[in-house]
Amino acid sequence: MRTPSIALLFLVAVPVQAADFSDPMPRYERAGAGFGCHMSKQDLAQSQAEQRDVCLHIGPLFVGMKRGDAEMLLGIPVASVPAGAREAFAYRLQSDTTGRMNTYAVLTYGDDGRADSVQVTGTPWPAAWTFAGVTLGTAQTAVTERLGAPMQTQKADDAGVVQWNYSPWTFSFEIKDGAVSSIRIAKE
Amino acid sequence: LQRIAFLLLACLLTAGCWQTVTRPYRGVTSLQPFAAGAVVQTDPDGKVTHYALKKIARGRYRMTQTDRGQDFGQGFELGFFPLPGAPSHVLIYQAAALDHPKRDDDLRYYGLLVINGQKGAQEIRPDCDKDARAARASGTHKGKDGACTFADRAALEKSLLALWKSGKKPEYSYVLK
Repeated sequence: MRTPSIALLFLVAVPVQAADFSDPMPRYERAGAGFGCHMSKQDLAQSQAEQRDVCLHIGPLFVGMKRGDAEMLLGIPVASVPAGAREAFAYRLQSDTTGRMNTYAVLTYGDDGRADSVQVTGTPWPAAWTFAGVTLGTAQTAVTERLGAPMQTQKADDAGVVQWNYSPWTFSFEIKDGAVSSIRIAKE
Repeated sequence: LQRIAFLLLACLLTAGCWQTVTRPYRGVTSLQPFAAGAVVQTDPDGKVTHYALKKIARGRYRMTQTDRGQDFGQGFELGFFPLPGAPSHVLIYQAAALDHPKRDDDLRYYGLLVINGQKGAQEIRPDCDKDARAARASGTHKGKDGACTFADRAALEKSLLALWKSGKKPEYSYVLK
C-alpha cells in the first residue's frame, strides 16, 4: 500500500535525470518477461544467511531491515500515518533551503520489527540511492530501458502522478513530469 | 557515477591504496573489538564525519555514513585482524565498499587500527607513495593503477608490520558514542 497522506505533505517538482547503469549490485535486471536478481557470490551468501531478497534495497535501506538499524541511519521519524492496521513512518532525507523536507523515506514494519516496505520519495538528492539502477529523477524512458515497460499503470492520488507497477514483482515507481518521483519496494 | 565513501576517498583520489584482489581473509572470522553504535570520525583537517556501526556475520562490521550529503548511506564492510609481531592493540583493518561494481567484488583495502579502549581508535592509513619503503618489505611495488596490490596475506602482513614499525602516526580518529 502506498502512503498518499505523507506524499501529499511534501509535493515536489522533479527535474529529469538520465539513469546511471553503472550502479552497484545486487540489483534486479530484466530477464525475459520477468526479472532476475543479479548478485555477487557474497550477495548470494548474504541472501542465504539472512533469508531475504538482497535485490530489494534502495541504497542502504532494504526489506527485512531491523527498525533499530534503519533509525540508526535515518534518525527518528518526522511523521507517521496509519497504513492499514499499522503505521507508516516518514524519515527526512533532505530539506530545501527553507528547511522544508523535500526528500524522504517511508517505512512500514512487520510484527518482527523489520521493514516490510520501503519507499523513497521526493526531489533528486545528492546521495541518490538507487533501486535497480533507478533513482529519484531518473527519466521514465531510462526506467523502461532498464526494466522494461510496467506491467500495470494507474493514476496516483497526487495530480499528474502515475504509478508504474511491476507486479508480481514487489517494486513500483511513481512517475511525474516524465521522471521518477517515488520508488517503493515491499516484502509482498 | 559510482560514489566512493569518505574513508577511501583520499587513497582513491591519489590511487595510492594498499589493497588486495584475492580476499586473503576470506575464511577468517574477524575480531569484534567494538560494540555497535554511532561513530564519530575526525580527519587530519579536523573534519568530523558520522557513521553507524553494525555487527554482521563472520565477525565483520558494516559502517554506514549518516551525515546527509553525497555519501549519506554509503559505507564499508570492515574486518579487524591481529597483526603478527605487533602489540595486541594494533589490528589490521580490511575495508570493502558496500556499493561496488561486479569487477570490484574481490577488492579489499587495508591499514592499521590502533585501539584506545572500548570506545576509541586511531587509523594509520598507508599510502603507496609515502609508505613505499614498508610496501617494499614484502617486495610489493606501486602498480600501473597507482595502488600497492599485495599478492597474498603473508606479503600484506609483512608490509603492515613494517608500516607499524616505521612509526607512522595515525591521522584519523574514531570515537564510538
